[in-house]
Amino acid sequence: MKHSRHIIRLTVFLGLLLTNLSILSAQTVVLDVPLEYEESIDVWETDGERASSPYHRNRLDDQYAKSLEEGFVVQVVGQLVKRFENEDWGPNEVEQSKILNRLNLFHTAMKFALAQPGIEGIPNQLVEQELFLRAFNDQHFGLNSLQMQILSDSNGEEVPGYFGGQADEILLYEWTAEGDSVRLLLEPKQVRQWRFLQNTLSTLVNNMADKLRSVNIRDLTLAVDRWENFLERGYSQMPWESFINGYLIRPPGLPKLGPPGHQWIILHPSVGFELKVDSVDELRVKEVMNIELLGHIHYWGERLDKLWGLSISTTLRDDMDPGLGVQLHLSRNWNLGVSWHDIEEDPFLFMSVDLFSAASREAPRYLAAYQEQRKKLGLD
Amino acid sequence: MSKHTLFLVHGMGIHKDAAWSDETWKKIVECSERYPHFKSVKKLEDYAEPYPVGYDDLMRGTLARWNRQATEFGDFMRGNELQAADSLDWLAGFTGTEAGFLSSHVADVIIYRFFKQASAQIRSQVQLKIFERVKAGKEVDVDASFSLMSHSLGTSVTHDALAEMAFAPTIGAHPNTFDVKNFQFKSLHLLANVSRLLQTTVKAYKSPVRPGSNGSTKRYCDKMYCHRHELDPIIKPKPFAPVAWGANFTMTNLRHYRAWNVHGWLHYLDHPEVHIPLIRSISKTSAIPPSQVRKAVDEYSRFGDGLENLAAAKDKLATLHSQIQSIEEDSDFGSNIKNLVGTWAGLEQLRAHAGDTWAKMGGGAV
Repeated sequence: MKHSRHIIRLTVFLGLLLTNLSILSAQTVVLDVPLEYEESIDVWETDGERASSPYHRNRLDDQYAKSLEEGFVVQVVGQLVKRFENEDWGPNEVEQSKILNRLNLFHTAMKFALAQPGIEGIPNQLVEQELFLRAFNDQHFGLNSLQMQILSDSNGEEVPGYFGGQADEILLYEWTAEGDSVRLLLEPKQVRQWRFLQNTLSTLVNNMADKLRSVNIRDLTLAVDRWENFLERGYSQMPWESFINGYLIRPPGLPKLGPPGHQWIILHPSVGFELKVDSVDELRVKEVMNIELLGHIHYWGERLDKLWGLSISTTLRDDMDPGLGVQLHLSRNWNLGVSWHDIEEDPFLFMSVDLFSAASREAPRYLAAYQEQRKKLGLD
Repeated sequence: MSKHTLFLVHGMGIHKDAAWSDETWKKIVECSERYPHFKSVKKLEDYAEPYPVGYDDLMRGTLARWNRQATEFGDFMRGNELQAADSLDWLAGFTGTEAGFLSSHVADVIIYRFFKQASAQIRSQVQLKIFERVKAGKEVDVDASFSLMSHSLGTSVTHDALAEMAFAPTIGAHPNTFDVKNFQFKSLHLLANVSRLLQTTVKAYKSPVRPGSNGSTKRYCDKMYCHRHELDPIIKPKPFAPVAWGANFTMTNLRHYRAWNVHGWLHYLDHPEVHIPLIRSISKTSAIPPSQVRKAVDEYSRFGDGLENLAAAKDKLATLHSQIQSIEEDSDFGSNIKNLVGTWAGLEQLRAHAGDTWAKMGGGAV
């Protein structure tokens, strides 16, 4: 019993030792999974690999830099795949051939996408990147197609791997039945080769979509700005208007950017002033409650920061019958209109103030100043 | 070194600053320290970092706008001695900044579910926050990976924002580099998932926000974990329980009682079946071997060790179980508000009945 425990410990120790020396053979059982099986490349790559591994992404900046500059992307991918094909993976040749299957498909997809009319050399213009990505996606490849995934081993335990759900699925290790150690399914050296290669190819393909990604973020930012202008700086909506507008004019969502660009005004209360001008002496200003019965606002400008609109409104004041009028919106704060309290008399001019605007707080001050001036001029 | 990014999306209620995400991340780190790897080999903080994605400012903003409109209106009318000055007073004061369950939590759900402009603005903001970070991460390391954990209302916000992004062939006029063909999350962790209850345009069961391989064009994450507590009132109507979503989908039914607020996400996170998949996703799978997973789950007791007045609490739990049964699973949110509020009140009574230790472990933000 005691001897067998020693033997197990010795086996595990040797396993760990071999792992560290990167000369493990496939199916080796270890307690600690080597870093290259799971962690980011920058955690485990060595200076030597950075300088000379044929698959390291640094080769894009030295060995293949001139070819890429001249636009020979497909050829560079072809050379990398060919080199990988010539590696001797020994007993793991099945896994190697699975990876090769995917790499050949990847290579073909790249060739197809880069052959699109309008792309010259490496796609570094926005229009070229659009053409490239569309065609690449049509070939059932995306920017993340070579990325590591969480997959399941035969015991249903989570393990890292690639190409999940496809015939070429590979796992990097699997858990033993006891669940305290793992069986390595690829040698550490093979894992390092593959991970460098997939990282290099992913870098290459992602570089060909960098401008597009930036434009996507610029557009998402624009959508947020538009929403802000629409809801927070546009013509304010009472809760019922917000509710009804949401159903009448459904926010489009992506791919459209931001709000719909127009809104209905429905029973919208505001405050304002009515003026009647028969002569300067007769100028009278009266506070009113204004209710816009129905109207429509249209927004424009790239950021939807400009608006105009019309509405039918009624003005209520304590010294006259309700008035009926038409109101013009040219800014959020102040709106102009005309209203009739008596159809046989001249209409009143009126200004209303959006309740949410700063003007609504300033309005009483303006009115007080106006009354003061009238008194000074002896008009009251 | 590029770290894994864990997006955190909060639920309903007030989440003014980063305290909610700090508290959540602290809890995740604390949970990680229950396992040898994170104590002796490498800390969780060296593997991953949290990235809070909030939308509380928009919720509060909507309520504040309505409140301000009503206040300005009333002030002007009264100031000028006009009639009907109080006609909008019912809106004033409903600012959502109060701690009350109805005024902050339910208001959030109602705004998100019924005010489509507000929910669309929230989705837009959440999309920008998440994918801005994804872009930045990919610029540092093309193999950078991302996971997301959301809670309660946040699960619905997350689902809607991601479903829209996953299916959009373009953003504006340009091809979408973040759609399901070009991007996948490593894992999604949904606590108290209400995405089916509040589903709007994309139905939760037909959504691309589901797990699968990156060879598929309909899967937005490698792995998806949903967790629900047996006594959580929020998830009872229209529970999220998809059938045949495959081995990459995990649904956990939880029965633990470590604090009064069983809906709180710290209470959820305390359970090994919740935090282990999360911690493994954002660090590495082998950090907590299956043998340690089994041990942790087996040894996790249903009731917290230090809880007092356990008998009184169990009595109250029985009452709450009956109450939760009265919530009809197939009904919508609106018809169950009364039951939800009742059960919530019951949970607060549980706090009072069970004593200090339950109250101290509040369960975290809701």
